[in-house]
Amino acid sequence: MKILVIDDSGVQRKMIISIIRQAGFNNEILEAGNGNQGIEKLGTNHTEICLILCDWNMPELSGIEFIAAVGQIPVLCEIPLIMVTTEGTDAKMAEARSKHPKLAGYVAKPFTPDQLKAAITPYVK
Amino acid sequence: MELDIIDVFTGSLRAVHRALISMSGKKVDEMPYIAKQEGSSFMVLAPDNTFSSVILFEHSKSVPPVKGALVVYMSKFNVINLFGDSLGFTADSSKTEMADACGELCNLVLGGFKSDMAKQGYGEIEISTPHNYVDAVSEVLPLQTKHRYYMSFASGKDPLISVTIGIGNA
Repeated sequence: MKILVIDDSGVQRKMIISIIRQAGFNNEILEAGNGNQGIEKLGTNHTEICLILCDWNMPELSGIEFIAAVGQIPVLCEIPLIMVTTEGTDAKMAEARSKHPKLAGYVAKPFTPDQLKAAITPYVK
Repeated sequence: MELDIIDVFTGSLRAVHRALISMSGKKVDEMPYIAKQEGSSFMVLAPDNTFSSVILFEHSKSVPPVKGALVVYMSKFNVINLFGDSLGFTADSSKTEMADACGELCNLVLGGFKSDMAKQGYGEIEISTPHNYVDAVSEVLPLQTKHRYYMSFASGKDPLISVTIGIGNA
């Protein structure tokens, strides 16, 4: 199964992938630089994706817009989705959960490797 | 609630520690070298082989609104030293990638700072995207500061990164 990482920062995607590998997961990783690219990747791979990690602030289509779109589509909203973002306030977390009621997790940046590993481990297949 | 410089200073201190651990897995000494700076103009000033990254922020709920800037400076040597393991940087890595890493560190510092300020009851702080500089730079930012601090973070005797933070009124 594949993991989809959506973040406009190439450095952040590299860090997240490094932590996924450190955790011992060898899944194929799909990368997207914004919400639009995330939707493209999801469109062609959704049956093979076990987890989506998504940033909030991105150009073109933001993370909050991406999760709102995905949250409305029955087959897609079942894919575990964890937001990984600098928007770490309770208000932002509540906003994200209102857009995607089945949100699997919310990791605030800066996170430690152990924090991200703990968030993703239940969902990686 | 007006942004208090002590809260800004201590918040940014905590944020730098957390951001460095997040990106590099490495800790720096608890207390940096700190210098309060005088003067109202705020500059980004760095020599060659340095990566600098600036983020502007604003707290519109302060009366009057408060604007600020945070600048992170890292030498090429320390980008490799800190991020060689986590991001695979070597002496041959592109300067653009290294500048992106410095920008991302700056972004993480401000992200942590934002969350810290929100927990202290200040509400939302708006932050810009990082503006990255490679090598020598001498640029005045559009900000007149009332308070400005320079912090240099080290691990033992080895300086690793320096940060300047300033706030003033919009």
